[in-house]
This record gives sequence, C-alpha cells and structure tokens, in this order.
Amino acid sequence: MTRYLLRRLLHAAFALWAAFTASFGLLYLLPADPVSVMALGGAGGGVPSAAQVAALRRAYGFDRPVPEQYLSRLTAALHGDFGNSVQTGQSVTRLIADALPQTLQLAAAALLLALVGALIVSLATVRTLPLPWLRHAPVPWLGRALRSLPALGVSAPSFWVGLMLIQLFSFRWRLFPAVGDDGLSGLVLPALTLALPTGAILAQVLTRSLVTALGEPYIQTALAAGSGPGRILFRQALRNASIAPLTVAGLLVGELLAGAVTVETVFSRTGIGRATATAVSTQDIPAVQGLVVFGALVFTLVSLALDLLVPLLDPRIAATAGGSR
Amino acid sequence: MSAVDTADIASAARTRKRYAPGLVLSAAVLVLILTAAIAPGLFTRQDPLAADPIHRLEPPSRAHLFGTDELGRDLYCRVLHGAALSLSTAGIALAIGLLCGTLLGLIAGTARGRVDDLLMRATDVLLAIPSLLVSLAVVTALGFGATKTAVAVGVTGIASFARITRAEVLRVSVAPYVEAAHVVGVRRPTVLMRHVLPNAWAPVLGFAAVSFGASLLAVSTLGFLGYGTPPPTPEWGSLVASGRSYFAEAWWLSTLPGLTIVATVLAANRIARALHGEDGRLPR
Amino acid sequence: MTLLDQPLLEVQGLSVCYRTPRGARRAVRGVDLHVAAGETVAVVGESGSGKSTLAHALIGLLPNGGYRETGSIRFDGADLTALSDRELRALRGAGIGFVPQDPSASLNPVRRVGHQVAEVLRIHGRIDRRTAAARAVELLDQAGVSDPSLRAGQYPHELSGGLRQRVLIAIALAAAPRLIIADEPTSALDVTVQRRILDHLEKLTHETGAALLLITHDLGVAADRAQRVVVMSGGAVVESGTSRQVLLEPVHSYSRHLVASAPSLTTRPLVTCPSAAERSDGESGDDLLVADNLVHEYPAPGRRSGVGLRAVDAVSFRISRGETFALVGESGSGKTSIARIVGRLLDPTRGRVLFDGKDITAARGGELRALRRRIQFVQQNPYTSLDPRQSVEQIVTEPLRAFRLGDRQDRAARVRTLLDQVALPAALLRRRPSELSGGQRQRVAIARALVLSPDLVVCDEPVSALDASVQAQILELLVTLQDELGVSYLFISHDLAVVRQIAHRTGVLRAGRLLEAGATQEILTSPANAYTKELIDAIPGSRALSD
Repeated sequence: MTRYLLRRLLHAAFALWAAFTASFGLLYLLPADPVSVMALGGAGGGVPSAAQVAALRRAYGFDRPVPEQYLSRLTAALHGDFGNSVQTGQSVTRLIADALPQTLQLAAAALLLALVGALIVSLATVRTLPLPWLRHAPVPWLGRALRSLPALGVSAPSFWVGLMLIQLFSFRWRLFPAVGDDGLSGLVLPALTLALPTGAILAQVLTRSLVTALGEPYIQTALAAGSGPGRILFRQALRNASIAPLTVAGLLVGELLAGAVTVETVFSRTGIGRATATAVSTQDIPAVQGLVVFGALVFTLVSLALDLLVPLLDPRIAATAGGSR
Repeated sequence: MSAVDTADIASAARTRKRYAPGLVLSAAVLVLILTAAIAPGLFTRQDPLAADPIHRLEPPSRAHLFGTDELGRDLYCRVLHGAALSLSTAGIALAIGLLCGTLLGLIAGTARGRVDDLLMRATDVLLAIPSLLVSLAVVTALGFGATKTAVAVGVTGIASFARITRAEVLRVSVAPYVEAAHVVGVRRPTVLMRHVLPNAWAPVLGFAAVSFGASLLAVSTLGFLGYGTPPPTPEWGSLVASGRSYFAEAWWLSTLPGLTIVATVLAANRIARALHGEDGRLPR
Repeated sequence: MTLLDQPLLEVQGLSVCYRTPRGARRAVRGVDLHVAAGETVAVVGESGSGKSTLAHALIGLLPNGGYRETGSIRFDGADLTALSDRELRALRGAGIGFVPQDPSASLNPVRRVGHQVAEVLRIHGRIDRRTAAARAVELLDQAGVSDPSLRAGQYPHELSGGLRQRVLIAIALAAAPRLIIADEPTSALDVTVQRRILDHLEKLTHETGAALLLITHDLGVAADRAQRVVVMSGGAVVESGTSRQVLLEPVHSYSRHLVASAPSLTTRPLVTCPSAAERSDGESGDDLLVADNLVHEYPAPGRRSGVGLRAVDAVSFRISRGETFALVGESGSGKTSIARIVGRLLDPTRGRVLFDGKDITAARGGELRALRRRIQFVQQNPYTSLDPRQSVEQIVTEPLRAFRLGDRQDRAARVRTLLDQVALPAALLRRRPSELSGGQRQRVAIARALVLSPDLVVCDEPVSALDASVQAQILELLVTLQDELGVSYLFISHDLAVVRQIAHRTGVLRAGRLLEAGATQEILTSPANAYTKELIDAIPGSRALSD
C-alpha cells in the first residue's frame, strides 16, 4: 500500500510539473512577444512606449535565455511564487489566496447540491423503470421526464441558466439577491447554477451504473434469496453503482473551478473565477499561468484523494492497489 | 438463457420506440438551424447590423419575433445570422480535437511501447487541467477572435479523442478476428486498414457526435466571456452577454439567444445518442 | 391422490411469453412438471429451449418483458401465481432456494461472502447480526468451503470459481428451503470441480431432504444426478421419464438426437486409434510437427526478476501427417499457450518447434508468412473470431488475397468449393457473421483455415462454445475433411468426451506439464496417471451408464 501511495504521489508531482511546463510553453513562448501582449493589456488599451516595454522586459526576465527563464520560474513556482500580476502588481499567489475562500464556499455548496440532486434524480429514475421486481403502477411520462432531466441539464449553458435564475428569483419573485457575494442568500443562485451541469452529468453516470448494476447476476441471487426492493437497491446495487460516479465527481471538481469563471462573472461575485476572467481579458500572463497551475493542483489533489478513497469502496481495486503492482 | 435475460434488464432504460417523437423533433430543429447557418436569408430579410433607434428594446412581436435590442436591431435576425459563426466555430473546434486526437490515439495504439507511454502521459496532463482553463490559457496566448476560440476549444478535445481512439484500437487489436487475419497471412498494415480501423472507428465517431454539443457550449461560453468575435458581429454567446446590461427591462435579449443554444445542443445530443446507441461516455 | 402423494412442486400447462417489438414471443409452452419431496428432477435442453426461463418463472423472477401467460404453479399446496409480492419474497430463499448459473458474477463483488450468506438468514428469520454471522460460517462449512471462518471475511474475487459456487450453494440452502432450483450450476466450471460440486449438492439435498430441480444442457449430468429427466425443446417438454428410460430408450426424435450427439454418451469414436503395433512411438520419419521441451513463462506480476509463472513446463509431443493429436486439460493447464506457440502466435521461453523437419521456433518475416500457408488456426469462439463487418465471402477469400493467389474468378471458385466442403449453402456468401448461427460461423472459420490447403490446423477448443448437437456436426465435419484432405489437427480441448471422438492420440496436461500421452483409446481405458483417471471419472454420464 505504501508503494501504491508513493507511486500515486510521484504521478501527481509529475502531472503538476508537466502542467507548469505546458503552461510556460503556451503562455511565455508561444506569443511572438509576450511583453507587448502584457503591456497592451496593462496599459489599459493605450500603446505602450518603448521605454515601458523595455522596463517590463527586464522586470519579467525576458531579456534572459529561455532555459534560464524556465528554470528560474520553475524554482520560484516551487516556492509558491508565480511572479506579480501585470495588472495590479500584486503577487499572483496573494491574488489566488485572497480569492480562494469565496470560490471554495461556492464550489463546496455546488458540489453538495450536485451530489444530493444527482442521487435523488437517479434513484427516482430507477424507480420508474419497468423492472419486474419493482411492482408499482407505471407512470411512463414520469420516467421519461426524469430521464430527460439530466439531458436538459448538460445542454444548458450555465451563463444562461444563471441569468434565467436571476430573472425569475431576483427580478420577478425577489427571493434572492441578483448579484454580490454577501451571506447565505447570495450563495443560493450561484451554487445552483454551478451545480446544474455537474449534477446532470453525475445523475447520468449514476443512473447508468445503477441500471447496469441492477442487470448483474448477483441481483438475481439476492432476489432469489428473498430480498425486497429496498435491500436490492440500497444494499446490493447502490454501492456497486457509486464507484463510477464517485470517480467522475472527482474529475468534476476541477470543472467546478472552471465553471466558477462564468458563474462568478454572471453573479458579479469575487473569487478565483472572476480573477481568471479578468486576467484573461487583460492578458495578464503571470496571473493566468498561476491560475492554470492552481487548477491543475486542485485536480491533482482531488484525484489523489480519490485514489485513496475508491479502494475502500471496491475491494477489487484494493487488491490491485495493495499488491505490488 | 439468463445471459440474455440480464441484458434485457440492462436495456430496460433504453427501450424506446422506433420513431421517438423527441428524435424527430431534434432532427427538425437541427435541420432548421443548419439551414439558417448556411442561408439565413431564407428566414429573414432584415439586416442583422441595421440599427433602428425608434424601435429599440421592443418585446417580441409579429414584426420582431425575438424583439429588438438596445440599438433597435432585430434579435431574431441577429440570432439567425449568428448561427453560421457559432456552429462553424464549434465545428472547427470539434474537427481539431477529432483529427489531432484520433491521429495521436492511432499512433499510440499501434506503436505501443515508449511512444504510447509518452503520448498517454501528455494526454494525462491535458486532462489534469480543467478544460475551460486550458481554453482560457490558449486564448491568453493567441488573443481573441472566432478562429482562436475554435483552436482554444479544439485543444481541450484532443486528449479525450486520443484516449478513446487508443482504447478502441487496443480493444479491436486483441479481438480474435484480428488475430485470425494475422494467422491467415494478412500483412500488418492491411490488417490495420481492413480490420482494426473500420471496427474502431464507430465508437470514436459516436463520441464526436456527442462532443458537438459540448463544443458549442464551450465556444458560446468563450463568446459570453467576451473572447470571441468582437461586436457588432452576432455570435450566440456574445448575444447573451450583451443582453445582460438591459436584462432587468428586456428579458428577451439574453433569454431567447440562450434558448436557441439550449435547443441546438439538446437536439444535437439527442441525435448523437441515437447514433451512438447510448449516452456518450465520459472519457477515462 | 392423498395428501402424502401430493408433489412438492406441481406445474400445469405453464406458458411464458416475452414482449418483443414484434409482439409476444412464447418461450415456454404448456409445460407440465412435478417434483416430489426429496426427489431430484433434471430439465435438459439446448440453448433457447426455454429451460432457464422455466426456472425463473417458478420463483416469479422472470426478466423484464417476461410474463406468465397461462398455467398454474403449486408449491407445497399453495398457488404461487396467486401470492402477493410480500408472500412471494417470504417464499424465495426460505421455501425455494436458487443456485444461479455463473459463479463469477452471481456474488456481489463489493461485499464479503459471509455477509452475503448471513443476509439470507436476516431476511428470513428474527436473528441478530452476530448469530447470523456465526451461522453463515457454519453454512459455508456445510457447503464444503474449507477454512470457512477465513473465507467468510473474503470478497468474491479472492475465491476460485468452485469456491464461489459453493458459497452460492450456501446462500441457496441458508434458509433451509424444501426445494432447490439449480440453473446450470456447474457449466462454467472445470469437469473435476463440477463433479465435486454436484457430489456435494447431492449429499446436502440428501441430508436435508430437500428436493432438487436441476437445469442443465448436459444430458450426461442429468442422467448421472436425477431420478427423472425432462427433455425440453422449443419451449415445450418433449419427453420425460426416468433417467435410464430417457437415456437408453428415448422415444421422441429430439431426445434420440440429443442422446446421439451428447459426446459424453456416445460410445462410438469418429476415428480409429492406431494400435501400439501400428505406431512405433519412437523415431517416425513421418512427423509433421515436433514440439521439443517447450517452456513458457509469464513474468510474475510485481516481481522484477526471478522465475515467472510457468504456464508450460517442458512439454514435448509429435504429430504425424493426417493425424489428430489432442491436448486435454482444465483451465490453467497451459493447453492454450501450447496451441499459440505451435500456431506461432506466442514465443516459447525455451524449447523448439520443428515443422516438417525445420526449426520454426524463431521464424520471422517472410519465413513466418510462408509458414502461415501451412499452419492454420481455428479459434474457440466463433462469435468473436469473424470480423463483424465482412461478408462470408470476404472472410473466406481473405487468405487468398493476402497471398495473392489466383484471380478473382479462381478465388470465387475456390471459396465455393470450400463452402461446399464445410456443408454451407452458397446462399450464405453475402451474409455477415451476425446473420449466422454459431455452428455456421464455426464452419466459416474452418473454411477460412482450410482455404490455403494447410498441412496442420491448430483447433483451440473449436466446439466448446456450441450446443451438443452442433458440436457433434462440427466434429464429424473435421473428421470428414481430414479424410478428404489428409490434414493434421492439433486439437485442444477441456473435454475428454470430445477428444475421445476425434483424436487418434491424446496428451493430458495439468498445470503446464504433460502427464501422459498415447493412443486415445489406451489413455481412456487404462490411464497411467491418477489425474487422468480423475478426469475420466468426471465425464458426466459415465455413472448413469455403468449402473
């Protein structure tokens, strides 16, 4: 198990390094002249003077050879330093740290909503399936409606969903504030918006794996031994069926972070997402790189946690993980 | 036999009639929108850029089906004219992901060994960064504009397509009928072309069909955030964004272009699902 | 009829239908069946005969779309068709136990086996968790699971197939049912394991006085284990009677056909074995293939160096021209590895393969391609060995195209000849594999293997995926083709009964070692090795015939 853990850690470190390197290549090497790109954004639209550009070039170390730039940036990044934002002059790490709590709150609320919503929708969907041992009055339209719910969720762009929620809940019914990041009531609509695409995907995956699990022969064994619908659904099928959605949920945490970009823009909240949108709009290269690597860090940490969690749920994976493979 | 029986249970969720009304409706919607993208003049005579300050911010009416915007431009007309740009950007993005991804996946799946390892580690990294962040990084590096957003969205698809293609190639490569072809003396390249590719192709295409909706959503999101084509050229995402400022008094400005996106993605996904046989699988 | 004579289970006029897009399809037609207390009755039929549907209908667990059309099912005096869901659930497990088909998938993979046994007790009795767990260990012990307290804490994937089936038996017996329905309980297991499991099941039913309804495709198993046999075909019962009656004097034409094609029961081999005098097993100049001291090792998982898993351990044999040499073994015996080494699909770790006097162990490139024309391969599963996108004609022509033999017309003529030889109508040329039956597919695969006129065909379990009657036809076809073409076969099988029919000489493999080899008849009548004897004894049907 320790070897498995070490291997996973090594893998995670590699992924982070590669993410740093890829973003360095993309942001610092790909543009013909990153300095003028930054200067253009930084000068607020005005054409920067030659002196300004030269000063920036020195400040960001672009006058040095590429390998040297790369190494010094990598060393700095290892110490948690991604340079200073061109826009504000503030350190990128500071920027992220300041914006993080708001986004964390939003993402956590959204994840909770998505998980609970997906579970309810999936179980309800399964209950409407024409399974012979679930005898109840069939309501075909209800089953169809429930099954199309997730499809609708993945098809709606979240920026639009957010605007619709504002239109209905803030303008029309005046239940929740339309914008801003104060208090619990301000959190409801953004969290709902952010949860929708995630929850829809989760519901699809969970429904599918529940249906697959219910078709497995071991369900027949349990039925033949006299198990009722409750035992079948919760004791036999759900645990088997929850492994795939859990893995997906892990991947989706990264997407929540990305989703915060639009949601925080729509609801005018402060946070990582808003900071990202601003950084991209002003082509603030150090800030964008810092945020991209931060996204990779979150994703890597979550998958690491999942790698440790999934074997607890599935003894078959535990066997391969615990072995020396 | 009970092997068949259990398959019956598994398919219970997928039972559907041959011509499901939803599928027919989806096809109709998609045909309509594609026609609008190719020849918007068929549906409207108006100019999407013609301002009419007298009729600004008018709600939907017979004269203006989707209402008018803050400059009095006909929103219905702007949505129709935006279809070409939105759909083609999404299409280009999909094509980039599909072409680069399948090529990499093919190389990885057939070369195996070190090349395979290297390519798969590379896709790991691409998958480790949330796709929108990858798109945003590309946009930062390349700058704003329709083609650039297409590249930005396309890049995020490469890893998934590479993985699916590789997995399919590997799956088919160990199929007994491929071994049988080797045994009867068919040369390696011929086996690849005649047996492996045709059988590996279908799931990849199925995934491509499923990805179109996601691609359109991603392109619209970048447009909404303002990284796409600059105004006044109409594009669906930016239409929603520009309606935001007048949202309190003119609900239709953001609602109707957004609804068009939802309808298109829903229709595309529905048809993709029918082609694919089931819901599109998430990669990995 | 007094109350005492009343059977435990009585089925009358039972019909079961499935809803399909093209209307109802009847899977079981007017079946009458009765099982007395403590009696063992076998239901025999090939795939599609409706036997499995019948078993599921009895416990009210028809798959989706299935429903009882007519007929009654009475168990212990109660009409099952009139019971409520709750009453039916109380009956399942406690009144009727069920042993399912596939031990690898029939246990929940994420739950400890002890829990799965204990759960049945908790469903059917007011019993606390701890007592149930202790009782589960006892039940596992009764079902013949060694080390039951250790096993109870394990997960299904940690157990062998045989052990899993024993756990399933423990689950079926947990609530002391009066009737056990076993749906092909051993068809996924090795013959020796099958025999031990069935022996144990027999002992348990005897001890508890439970009746057993055994569903099987294997007439031999049915005859060995049951007092009465019911033969099903096309959803209907075509014959029923005592085991001896059905086996020795089948009345219905289908039962006669089934008895005749059951490999375990036919006494008549399709080929005659060479006597010891005819063959001097020493240096024969007529050897087509010589395998010399073959060793194959898989790298041991997790270990960097050192000895790997030895799948093939110093195996040597020879095959003459026009001869069939069979290798028999259970799973893990290394038989498939040897087939693949001979077919040049796998490199041996050590040892040599001589073909026609030439060492082909390391043949590569052009040499290997030249060899492909002379050594061909027939795979186990005809459902996966044909490219689903090709037509029959394309499949059979492919080897000719690969070697650029003949022009279009020559090829078409050759394909027609071959199709004729494997007794397939030319009308099938344009069909795709999915439109063919299993037997037809295997004929296509054989035609593909023979189109290049090879000297040796390696057949890797070519009939194990087929029904008994189709098996018999394919075996006959292989023998006929050998007579016509003089081709040699290396025939891999797990089934001594099949080998007896087709092989001139046989080798018995176990755990990678060749235990003995010789003329098939001699191996079968006077086995030198104890394991061979065990294999022979495990052939189902031998008990019924020797009585």
